[in-house]
Amino acid sequence: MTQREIEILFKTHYTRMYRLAASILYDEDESKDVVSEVFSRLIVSGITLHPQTAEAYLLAGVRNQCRNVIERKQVRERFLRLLSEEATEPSITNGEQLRMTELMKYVEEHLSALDKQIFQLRYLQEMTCQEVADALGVSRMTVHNHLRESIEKVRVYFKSKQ
Amino acid sequence: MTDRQLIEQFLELQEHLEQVTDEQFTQALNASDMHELLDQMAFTKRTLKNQELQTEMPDAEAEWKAFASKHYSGGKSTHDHSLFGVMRFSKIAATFIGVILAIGVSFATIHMINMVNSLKPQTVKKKQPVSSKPSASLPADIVNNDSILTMESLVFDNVPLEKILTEIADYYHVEVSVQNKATSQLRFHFVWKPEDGLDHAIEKLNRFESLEIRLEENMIIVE
Repeated sequence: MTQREIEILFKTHYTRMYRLAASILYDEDESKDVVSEVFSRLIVSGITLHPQTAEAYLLAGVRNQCRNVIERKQVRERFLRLLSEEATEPSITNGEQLRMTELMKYVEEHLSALDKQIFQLRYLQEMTCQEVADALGVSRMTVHNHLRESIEKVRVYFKSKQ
Repeated sequence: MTDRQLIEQFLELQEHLEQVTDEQFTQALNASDMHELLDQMAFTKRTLKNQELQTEMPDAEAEWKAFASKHYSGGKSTHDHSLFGVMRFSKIAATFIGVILAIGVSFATIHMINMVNSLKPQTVKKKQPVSSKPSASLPADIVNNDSILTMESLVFDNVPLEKILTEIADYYHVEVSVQNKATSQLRFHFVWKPEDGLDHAIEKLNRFESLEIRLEENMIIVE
């Protein structure tokens, strides 16, 4: 494809590709690298993408590259940062957005504002329990208890879906 | 293990992973309910992250500039350097493979037609007493193969615009009017899929930076 064609594809699909990568890897720089890599490979492959199928092709490429990034990581890091290889399965594309919307609705309804805040700081900001406690001016035990309760609630949701 | 114990173990591992031996860690991780909890937690984290990302607008323009400077550093230079050279080479290689494939497919089709033709009298003779169905299904196969061939895309590699347009115009029974002689001599690499229609072909051609082509009634106009 010509530089101009690649440019159009890049600008059209960048946001969605970046968001997908970042929702799998949680890391800004790694996600940007993944999107770049997908386009580099597209250029080298010489494949011409049809506008109607371009998005599916590019998003599948993002999942693939994310898998490579996760596979290179140590098992301990994957566990600590909750990096899921399952998220890179091509088959997961179907209905993923819907399942996320549903879970998000459940979280909004069943977790208190503090539950949610603690969960976000602990897992999304990747702070330790002590750091979360210090940031919020509560005890470490409080952080622990809120996390446990949030996870219990989320488990109830997943059980109801089985 | 109760659900609460499982969650406590999970939180404990998350908080003090450095104090756990490899053996303990592997053992804990391999338990099926821990595995399930981990998948659920990962999905929850992804969901919250996804929500957070909805308001985040990465600067695609800036990212493109960074990407382009890395991959198209040669700009419009005529020398084939590094990746640009590799790209051209792979493009040419891909075209060759395409041509060889097309020749292969048409050869196979011709071969099949020949085979079918030479077999036909025999088949008909043999099958006639039983049923006429098999011989009826054979021509249908050939028709299918043929239509696949006609729907294939055509690759113009380094071909002057005028020639590309003449080909396309002939196919759709329209005329070409060149108002800009200089443009019409530019050479392009262009993949044309006849079944996509004339409008689509023109739209695709217009994506080339230097081109302005429009369709007016039965005339393709190059400006």
